[in-house]
Amino acid sequence: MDDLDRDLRALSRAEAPLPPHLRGRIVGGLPRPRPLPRLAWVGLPAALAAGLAIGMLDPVAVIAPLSGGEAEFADLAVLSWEDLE
Amino acid sequence: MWRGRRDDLSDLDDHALLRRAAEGDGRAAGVLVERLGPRLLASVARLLGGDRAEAEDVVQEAFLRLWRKGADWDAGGAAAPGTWLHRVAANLALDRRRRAGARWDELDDAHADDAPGAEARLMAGERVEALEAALAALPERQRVAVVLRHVEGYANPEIAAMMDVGVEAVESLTSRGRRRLAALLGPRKEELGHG
Repeated sequence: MDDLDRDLRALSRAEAPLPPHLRGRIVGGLPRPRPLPRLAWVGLPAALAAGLAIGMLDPVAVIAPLSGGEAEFADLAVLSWEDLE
Repeated sequence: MWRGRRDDLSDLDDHALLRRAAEGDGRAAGVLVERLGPRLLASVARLLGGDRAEAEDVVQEAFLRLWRKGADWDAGGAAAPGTWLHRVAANLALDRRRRAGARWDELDDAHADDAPGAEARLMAGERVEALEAALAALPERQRVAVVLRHVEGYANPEIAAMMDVGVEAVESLTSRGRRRLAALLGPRKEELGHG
């Protein structure tokens, strides 16, 4: 590698200061996170409440899908409130 | 407090900063821009023969593309953000040249022997400035090939794809560009410490 090669390679480390307006335009172009739609502020608590209600009324319906295979589902399906207690 | 949080961000690597920036963290984006921007701007300006305004537009567009890509950036598989930025910016710069109607064939040798003021600029600069001036004095296609090959370190097949020419053309352009650079710098060889 001769002097010219070394000098050319060294140019890759050269820097040009960014003008403030350019920095501002670049940072200003960041994607903005989309705000949660207004309806979601009502919908999320409502969905949570509905889930809790279903869980209270019919625990098996909630537990069964969370368990593994069919055998476990069958075992759970015959559970009564007394078994759970 | 602001200073302390900013210093914390400075400790993060480029991937972590990009992840935060893609989530809308302006401070992380600012740190990443300050870290990668100056070198990128110098590189693009060099490719564009010193056209600072166009170089700024290219740098801005490259960063905006990085923000958009940042949301699903694969830190394990993708290139480093800086490497990715340089490649995208180089392609953007060359695309602009092509869209502006620059004809490589005409640009290649039309001004090869009359680079006005090139030697005068060489006389005024130091070693790096002299080299930048000599590069700016090269015919555009030779300058692009030499910069991509010898400054940015791309392989000839990559440069061929970026310039939309054959590999042999790249070899010829870099060879001619280097010879011309040496000729431009020759008169100041000893003064610049090449003797």
